[in-house]
Amino acid sequence: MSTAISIREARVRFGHTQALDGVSLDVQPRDCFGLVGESGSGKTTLMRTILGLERLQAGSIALFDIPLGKSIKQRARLVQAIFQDPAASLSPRRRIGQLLDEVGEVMGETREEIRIRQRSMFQRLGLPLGTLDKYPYQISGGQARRVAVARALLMRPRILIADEPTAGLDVSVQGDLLNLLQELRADNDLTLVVVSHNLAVVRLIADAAAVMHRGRIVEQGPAAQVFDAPSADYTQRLLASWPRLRAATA
Amino acid sequence: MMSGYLSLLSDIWRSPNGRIGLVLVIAILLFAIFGPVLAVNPNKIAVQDRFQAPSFEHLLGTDNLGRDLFSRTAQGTRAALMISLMVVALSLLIGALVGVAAGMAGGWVDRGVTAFFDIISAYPAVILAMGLMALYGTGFANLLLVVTILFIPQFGRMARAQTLSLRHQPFIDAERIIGLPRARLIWRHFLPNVLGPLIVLASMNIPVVITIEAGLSFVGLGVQPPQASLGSLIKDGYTFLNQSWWPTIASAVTLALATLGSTLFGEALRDATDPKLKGHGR
Amino acid sequence: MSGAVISNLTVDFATRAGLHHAVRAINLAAGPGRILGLVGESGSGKSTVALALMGLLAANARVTAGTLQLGGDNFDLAQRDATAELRGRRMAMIFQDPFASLNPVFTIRAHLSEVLARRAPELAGEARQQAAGDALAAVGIDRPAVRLTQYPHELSGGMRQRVMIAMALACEPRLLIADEPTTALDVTIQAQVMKEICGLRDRIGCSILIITHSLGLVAEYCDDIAVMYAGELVEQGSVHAVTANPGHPYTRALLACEVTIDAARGADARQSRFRMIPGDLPDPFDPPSGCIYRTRCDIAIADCARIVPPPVEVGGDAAHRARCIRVGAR
Repeated sequence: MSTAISIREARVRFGHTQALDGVSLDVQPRDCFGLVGESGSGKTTLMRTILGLERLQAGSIALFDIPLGKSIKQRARLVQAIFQDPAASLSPRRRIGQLLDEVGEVMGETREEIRIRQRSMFQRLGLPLGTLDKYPYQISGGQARRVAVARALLMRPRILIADEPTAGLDVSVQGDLLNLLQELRADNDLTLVVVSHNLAVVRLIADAAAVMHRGRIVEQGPAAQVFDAPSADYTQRLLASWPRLRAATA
Repeated sequence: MMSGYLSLLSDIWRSPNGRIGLVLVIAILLFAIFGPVLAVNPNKIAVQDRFQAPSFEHLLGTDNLGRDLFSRTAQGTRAALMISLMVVALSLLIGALVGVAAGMAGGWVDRGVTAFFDIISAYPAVILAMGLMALYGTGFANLLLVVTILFIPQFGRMARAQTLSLRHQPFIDAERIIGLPRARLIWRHFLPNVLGPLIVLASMNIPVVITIEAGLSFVGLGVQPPQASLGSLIKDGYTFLNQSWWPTIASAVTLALATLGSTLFGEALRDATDPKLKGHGR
Repeated sequence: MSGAVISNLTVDFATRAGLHHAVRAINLAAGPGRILGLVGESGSGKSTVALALMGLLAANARVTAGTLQLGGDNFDLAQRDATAELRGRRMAMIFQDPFASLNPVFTIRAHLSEVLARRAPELAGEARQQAAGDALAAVGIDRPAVRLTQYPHELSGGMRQRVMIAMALACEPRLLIADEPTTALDVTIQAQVMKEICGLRDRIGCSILIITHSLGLVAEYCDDIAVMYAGELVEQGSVHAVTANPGHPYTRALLACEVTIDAARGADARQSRFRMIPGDLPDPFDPPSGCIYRTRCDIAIADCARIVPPPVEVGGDAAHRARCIRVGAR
């Protein structure tokens, strides 16, 4: 069985900074993989490289054993993403319906075919059909988030990357998105990659995880091991710094 | 979309300067469009009627050859507006395409284009125009070409700057990862977001082009006689100033109003579309 | 040194859509030498409280009522610039964005000098330099002499927050207000910065008001907690008391939604489900009658729409109060 994502010795440099310094990891199909780290750790660069938004300067990436060249088109059918600020990921001067029609374009579908799929996807995600006629600035943040999920899923990817899914969300509403991600995994035979600095959440939803620090992977393995019995110093420090809700003792 | 434009116009109307600008622009437009239609033949020479003051027959009087000033001024205004609109449109289009391409390509393409812009803008505009016209000859096409070249750098630089800042926006990333071909990406998602500020710049450049064209015509390098141009009308009027000041007044005032009106309108448009200024003093 | 008491603070914002009731009759007490964590989600009005205290509200804000009692003096917050004389002296503030809080064209020395000049004008020249260096050293900044000559862009985010704390230290305030001081920082740096803030309390015994959306932060570092929802204060008490025995249904729900680092983890991550509070915030232009939380509350009854709940003691602890007529019900 092939691995969903296979990265070998990935290197990316921006000016003086080595953003990715020989990163190797494997993501198993149908897993939820957590990529955690603080700012500057390289997790965002790694995500962008997988998506084809940044170029590898050394090393290789293969998705389901298909080695990826420079072309993004190849990847678009295999991996999609929902970005940190979903409202900003929608082109401001086009209607939602037009943006989603583009998915049909790149997939070679007819207008009718993509429209049918849009409708059923909206129903599934609890979005009113009227949203299709609106502009991004006319819909709420929560709806924008669901639209972004809809667009990603309409591409029928095998891998879905969620970039900081809980960033900017209140604790009382983040559950909604997280539960949605869990449902999507179950229904769609999807491999999920969650890129986040929120260790507590990733610990609960990930099957496997990798901790990044300064462009390198310092720890990798099953979630239970990484979060509950970490071997690396840095991981231990990270977990120790996480604020705890102590139960009161009298 | 329509409501967007209407609210823009109402914002412009709200500012006192914008109101004046809008009124003047509309007045000049009406003059340029309907003036030549309503008036008599602007080239009809009637030397016996020279230097007449305004009358019912000749609303702005006559010039040194007895030609009706109203129609000549209207014709000149029409020429000024046509040239300025065409120049601005062309230089906007070329500047936008070149600027976006440079912003997207980066590397030596970007550096080459920027150097090209710098070279053009290093020359004083009118001197460059005069030089090119003197070299390649006068004529409408040449005039258009020369003045267009002068304005390409401004639009190009702005388009490039907008492109550079848009390149890293999340929505561009999102369009890229669904595999949208580059050309469609530029046409559908870059250009509309780049054009906004460019159009405001265009409206602010119209008075500048009008002035440059008038200046070139004044020295004889612009629109050629017997075609009327505001600049050449001013020059003719100036030559015969001691015999009648009507020719000068008609053309100079029209030029001033056209320039003032389009400047005020352009500035009001810029202020109305500046999101940072929205909410001030409302 | 006595603490800070805020009474009946009410702030409205005048907008095109009407009057936005952002903060309604808030009563807070930050004891001397204690850290009070003011917790709230978006729309709770918590940042507005901080800005109202410092007199930094936007032009369309109207403080219709409210007083601040600090060190025996009363300040009427409804007056603009009521607290102007306190700024930099008895009251200091740390802002959320460490990258925007320091003027990029001034050195760190210039920043500290400004604060010291206001606080202790008699100190000049060499003595002031010394005091500036000491302030930096006190918050754990290495090589203070070098740092003084640097510009803000040469320092990291965590370092900049420490400079802000050093500036607060130099003020020797009675009340320190920290608005989301660690939100923009990595969790390892957050721990260090919070340690410095606690250190400030230990060193000069001031009251500290920390404004945050993170229950975890408050639970870990604060002594007391106050919970805000949609502009109102719903619960207040010591951190121990409130986290062990939340009286208000919102606090209870919030604590349940919080994902802790030591939460029980099933064998199969696929089964993990997350709690949330269904419903939306009430309309700030037209708040519901009675209890502000009743539209999302899981134990609301008919009376909740009629009665504006007064503070009720929870669990026999006079300092622990919740504004709910059904405290303790499930």
